[in-house]
Amino acid sequence: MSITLASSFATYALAVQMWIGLRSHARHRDKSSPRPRYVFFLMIAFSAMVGVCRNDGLNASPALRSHLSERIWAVLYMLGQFHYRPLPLDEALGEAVRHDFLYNLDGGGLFFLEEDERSLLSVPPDLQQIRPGQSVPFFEMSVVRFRQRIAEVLQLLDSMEKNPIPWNADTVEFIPREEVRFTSSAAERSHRWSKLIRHQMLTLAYFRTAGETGKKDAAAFEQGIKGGEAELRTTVIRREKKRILEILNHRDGFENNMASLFLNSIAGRFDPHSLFLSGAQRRSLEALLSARSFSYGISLGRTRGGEIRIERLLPGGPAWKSSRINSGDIVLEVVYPDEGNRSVDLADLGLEEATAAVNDVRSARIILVLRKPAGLQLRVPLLKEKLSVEENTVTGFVLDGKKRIGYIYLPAFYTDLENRDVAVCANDVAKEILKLKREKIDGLMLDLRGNGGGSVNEAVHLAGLFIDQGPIVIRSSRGEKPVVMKDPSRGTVYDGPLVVMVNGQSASASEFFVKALSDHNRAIIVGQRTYGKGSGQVILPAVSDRSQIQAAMQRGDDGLDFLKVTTDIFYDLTGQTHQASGIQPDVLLPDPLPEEGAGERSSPNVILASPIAKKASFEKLRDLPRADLARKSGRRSEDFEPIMSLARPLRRALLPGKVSLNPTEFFSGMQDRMKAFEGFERALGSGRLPFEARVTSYNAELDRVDPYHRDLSIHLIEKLSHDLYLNEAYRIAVDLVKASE
Amino acid sequence: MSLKICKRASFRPLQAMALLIALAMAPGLSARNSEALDYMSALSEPSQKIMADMWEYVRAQAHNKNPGQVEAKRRTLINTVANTHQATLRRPPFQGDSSYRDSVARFVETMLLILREDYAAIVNMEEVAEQSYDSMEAYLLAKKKANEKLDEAADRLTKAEQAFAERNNIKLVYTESPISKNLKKSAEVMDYYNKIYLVFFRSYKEEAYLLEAMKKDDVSKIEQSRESLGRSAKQGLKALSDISDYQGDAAVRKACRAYLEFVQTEADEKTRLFGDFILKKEMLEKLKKALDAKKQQDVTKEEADAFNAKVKDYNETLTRIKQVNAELNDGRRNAVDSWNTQGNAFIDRHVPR
Repeated sequence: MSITLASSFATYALAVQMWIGLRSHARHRDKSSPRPRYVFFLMIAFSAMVGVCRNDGLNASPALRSHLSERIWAVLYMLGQFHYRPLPLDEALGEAVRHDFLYNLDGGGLFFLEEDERSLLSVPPDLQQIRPGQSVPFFEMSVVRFRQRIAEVLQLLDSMEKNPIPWNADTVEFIPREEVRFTSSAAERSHRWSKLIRHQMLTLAYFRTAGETGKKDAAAFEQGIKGGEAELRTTVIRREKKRILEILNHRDGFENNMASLFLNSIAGRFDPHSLFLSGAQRRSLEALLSARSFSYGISLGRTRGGEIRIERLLPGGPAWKSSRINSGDIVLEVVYPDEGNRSVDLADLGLEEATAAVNDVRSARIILVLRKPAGLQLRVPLLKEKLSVEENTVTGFVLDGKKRIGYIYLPAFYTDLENRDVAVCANDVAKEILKLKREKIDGLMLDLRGNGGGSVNEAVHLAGLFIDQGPIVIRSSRGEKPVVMKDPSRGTVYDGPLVVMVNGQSASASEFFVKALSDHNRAIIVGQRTYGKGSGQVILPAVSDRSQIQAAMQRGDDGLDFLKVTTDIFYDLTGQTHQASGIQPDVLLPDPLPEEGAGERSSPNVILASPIAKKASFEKLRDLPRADLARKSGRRSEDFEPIMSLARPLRRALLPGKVSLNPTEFFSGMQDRMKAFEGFERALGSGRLPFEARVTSYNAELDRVDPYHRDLSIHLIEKLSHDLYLNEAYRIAVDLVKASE
Repeated sequence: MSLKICKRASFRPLQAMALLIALAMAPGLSARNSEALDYMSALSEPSQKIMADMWEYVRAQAHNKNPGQVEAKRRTLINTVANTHQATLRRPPFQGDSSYRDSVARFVETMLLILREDYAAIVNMEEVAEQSYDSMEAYLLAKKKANEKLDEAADRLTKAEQAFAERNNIKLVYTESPISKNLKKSAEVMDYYNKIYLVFFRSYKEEAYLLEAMKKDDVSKIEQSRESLGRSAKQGLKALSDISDYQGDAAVRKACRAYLEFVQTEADEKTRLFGDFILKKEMLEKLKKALDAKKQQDVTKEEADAFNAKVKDYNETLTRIKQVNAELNDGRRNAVDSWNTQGNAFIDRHVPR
């Protein structure tokens, strides 16, 4: 595999690679669950501040102070030089960055007060006036103020911990992140905290109440609240205090972490995908992107109660060899023995954050604190090993029904950063296709639902497996002629009927992949409108002169900052882009919450790109019976009625608006929400299964010997068999096969 | 293993040259006419020298086996064309009319660029690269497009020359010298050969990709190249069946057919084993890892037996692979050698001496 670069970057070829991805560390994601577009303020309270400082003084340190202006200078220089749509360094940008920074520090409005916003935002100088070596008063004052507000909140929590919580008729409201505002007074802030704590206590009590959702007993819940109030309160408040201390004792240093957030606020103003990365963050990102890296051999999942659970262990991996960890164990905490036993509490962390905490690239050792199903707690030390974690990412299945259809789910366009000559994920898919061809399949389905992108080259290689030769995508970099990226290998690995599944989370490389196949008349696209990310990013060192880039990359010192910069927009073969618009599938399947996947266009600072005049010449295959397939699928739309009828409760569950903190009302509301989610899952698994799924005979051999693979296959087949969308895509594939005969 | 095939020079300029310019004058000319005739003769006269040098080069290509000598003839030809180009540019317009001189200059320049293979000066290489699969295809496409430009230049030259003659009451008589006859015949032979060569070359190149992918154990490329090679061989055989023998000489067609039949079997049957072998190897490694992860006492007899059966199957496939590889290497050497020998002999037979 070769790395993709705009010609102006050619000299940095060894050091720079291009990534396009919605979330470049995309992992297996539950394809079936709808995901909310809104982030609720209670849940994002700490999202911007995961992770530490041994600088206990109240003032910003002088060294950091002068260093920050140099870093800002470099970041602005690099964005100005390389960003696809550079912004003028004017007063408006400065103001916006300062505003974003405060809300990135305190996304839930739980620390700062309105007066802080007023006073801090008026502090000069503006970005365009910053010169290396100068101090940045806004930043310094923000740091001091933030520390002060944190101290106040810690005091508040101390006092809350001592007094029983009153269960009055208060409500808590879930609002979109951008609507969050700081409180007008310390009293209002303490009221907000009180609501947050109460909500968390109620949630904890709810999940502790025994029984399945429908069988949970309201009386038992209320009893739990009354009898266990003190314990619930202490648990929740201590957890919050611990998190706040993690901000203060951030591993990168309190101020340093704040500086990263400030620099990130600058990058974020240019577009939603440009990012500031400290050296450590960059290594972490690359490890996550790489197909082969050091790990503990654990795959994590989430229980319905929100706890982080061990899903699977990689055979022969460190966790497997410890003989003390099993799938189903709950992970409570990660301890880093090399950092003075610093620990991260996994309760309430998202799956991605928890995965990142466990796989932290800066640590080679961790201790996992686990809870066994029987309730026993234990601590298991683990040492990282080099593993091919992703080797089971791509598995082909045979779906036997009216026709024999091969099925492959591809969660991301991963690659191997250490060996860029080889196409990794495209090759993995090719191998599975070969196995499926030996099964004499009539057609193939490639599932890209939830695939947020990844390596551009992998996507181009993958498209090449299905088309003989020709252009795949046009890449446009700022100030340069658009470049046509072509199929690197003539010939196909599979030339039979092909259906590609997408949804609102299929983004970036997934999108141009499906568009290319569609333009070539090679595949039928089935599902929902895609996300709409048509931009590409490169990771560059933040230096203040482009002539220093290569040297900086080669030196690779730890203190070097990096930027993930949006440098390109991708266009289809007719010169149109899916940036901010997404791709409409050939066969649109019903979606109970269509507006929830609003995608890129609803992101702040989104790049809007116009079509380019460039067109790529290529020979189309003969037309596909798109309209006919869509018509036939439409006649089966009643299969989706169970799901569509849940649209309203599901929306209420996802966007609950005001939630009562009265225990009785909270319980019934929570029951309704959980029932809606469970109902959705049931409905998704309903309907007549038009096929029987099995592994290929190649993989069956492994399943016979390897219990891990066998369990994985059983789990995946189970999942395939409860997926209404897959059922319909299968039927469409059958129709396509028949039409091709 | 690498096999060389004979590369032959482009003979397209020769076709264009052979058709051009040999002129005579109508009787009873005025002074102006006479001047015009001298002008025209001076501009067209170097074409005789170019034709002569070209013929020397063509003959050497066809019959002389010493590459050094062939190259020397090519250099002489290029020098002659370059000098002609310079000389043409130095000539003043004829009574303010530069159209004839310019069309001669453009034609000679295009010819020079083609002889030097400087295609970038003639065609849009970016466009060519976008439309081509690889650099060899880009080269062939560039050459094709450059030759089209030469044809255009030749057309323009013919028109300009006729217009000039008409304006100045000169009667053009196109004659065929022995050299131009030889060049014409050679062009016909090379045209026939090149048509088959392109059919051969397409599959030859595809086969090279397949061999490279096999060397790297690159499953997707092996499969893609196999499919592509099989297809190009099939298309080649079809194209070959539409080409008749050259004056009863079937040698080149036969050699090409033999090669295409060889690669078709190679792609569709013989190398099928290779992708499977890589999958088997990978599976064996996974099975071994799974068994290694178990404690010795936990491995059942069935599992051990299944694993041993896989090892046996793997070893058998490996032996078979080696055997097939040896067969393919022999077959390929024979087919390509035969192609080279037959091609050389064909040209030697038909290009005049």
